[in-house]
Amino acid sequence: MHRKTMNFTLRVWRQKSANAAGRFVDYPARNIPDEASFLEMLDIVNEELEARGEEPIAFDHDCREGICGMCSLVINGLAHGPNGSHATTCQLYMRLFDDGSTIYVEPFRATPFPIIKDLVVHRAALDRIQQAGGFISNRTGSAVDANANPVSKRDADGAMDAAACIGCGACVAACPNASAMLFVGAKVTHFARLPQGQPERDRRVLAMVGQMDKEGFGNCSNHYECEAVCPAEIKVDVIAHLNRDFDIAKLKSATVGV
Amino acid sequence: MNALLSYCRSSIGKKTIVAVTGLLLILFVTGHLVGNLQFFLPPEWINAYGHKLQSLGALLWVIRLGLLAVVGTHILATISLTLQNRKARPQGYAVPAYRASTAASRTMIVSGLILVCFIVFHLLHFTVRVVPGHTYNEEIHLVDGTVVNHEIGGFTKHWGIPLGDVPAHTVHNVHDMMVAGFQRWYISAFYIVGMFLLCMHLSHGAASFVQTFGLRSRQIEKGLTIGSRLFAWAIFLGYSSIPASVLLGLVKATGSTCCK
Repeated sequence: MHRKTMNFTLRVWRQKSANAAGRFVDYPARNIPDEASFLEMLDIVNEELEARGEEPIAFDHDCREGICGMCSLVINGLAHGPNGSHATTCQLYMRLFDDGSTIYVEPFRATPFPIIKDLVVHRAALDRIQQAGGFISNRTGSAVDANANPVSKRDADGAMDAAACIGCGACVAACPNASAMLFVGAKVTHFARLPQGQPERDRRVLAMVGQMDKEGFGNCSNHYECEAVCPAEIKVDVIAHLNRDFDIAKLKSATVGV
Repeated sequence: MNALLSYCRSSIGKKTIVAVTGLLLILFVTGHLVGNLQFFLPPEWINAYGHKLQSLGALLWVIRLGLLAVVGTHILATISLTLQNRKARPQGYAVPAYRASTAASRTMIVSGLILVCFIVFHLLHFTVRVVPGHTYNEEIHLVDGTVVNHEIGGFTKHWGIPLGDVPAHTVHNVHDMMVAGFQRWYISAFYIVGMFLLCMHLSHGAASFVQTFGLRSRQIEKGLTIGSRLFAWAIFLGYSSIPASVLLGLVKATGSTCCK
């Protein structure tokens, strides 16, 4: 089988620990098959590093199928890399890059995402926002009959689109303000458009936005870079929904209570 | 009160403050432009318009201080948001790349802060009238000592509204003041550059407030983006036409508030 191979120079952010100073280090990536994913290319480079007795480059990954939201990386300034088709880094293939080019590889950069090591960042801030209200408190019991809760097609589609968020944090990484509003908007919209989400709707948006602000994320100023990189194709409509729901919930909490 | 304070401290609350004050300022720049475009009508139009604004008395000061408060709130909220944003991303990327944002959206704080300087100069230029090197032929005595308010410029009504019964016997020659004010090319150039920055600021801002109010959706996103850009360019062309026409000699001083 004919295999085309490519060569690159990687300029990788190396940082020993959260508090250590980081810097860019150049590594050659030689004989990389063009069908290798970006993570597989890093695996090949790491194998060489280990063979030489050097510390391999630490990076996050799990399913490598584009659905778990674990892989990250900012490649040449773009979260999840220059992939035009809304995909995660594990679904980014080396054939998209120019042979012989230099590729910058950096971690997701945001104060609420502290660097653990090299390209690995701690995204627990997103988990804490989820824990603040991104759920419903009903006892679920056994599955109810289909169509027991009528949901319009429009709301079902809207909720499903929002529920597609895999929580990877690329929206935060891509936002010039390091804002998490696409993530929070997706979680809030997902429940706000379904009947099961209504009892806690106001409390949820107040708690989740409160936690988001406490974590130190920036504020959306409508650049829409998040939408452009989101592997789950979440639209900034969810941020409009978030703004709307938050304003109404605040008004209600100040008057009739939530 | 506590609820209002906590709202104003929240991220979305601050964004809403910026959107509300921004919308008020959009309404102001639109109204201000419509008023100023009377410059191209016979001189008595803009002179009577200026006189009417001057005759508002206490109301004029309510409007002026209200506008100042709106501008001040807009600036304070955006500076606070920007500082938080910088704190959330202290280290940028080595090779920044953008896919959706625009030069206008990324330079809102820069264009905004330069516009503050523009507003200060503009007020000194035409409201306080202290810019050195200019003597404006601004007060023409029609009839000394007597109340001839109904005789200003030979007409008594502006847009069908009677000019107020203000005891005044002079009227500012706003038209000639504007001609004199724009005669120096560097002052006109400063105004046109300022209006270009306003155009950039509005091209992002006029679409942004709709999103912040939670009213933007996929159905209107295209129209909103195009509409806000068209609006911003209309504001730029409208305002810039005034210094440009003076520089090109298309509008000249009349030397009198009235045609007769």
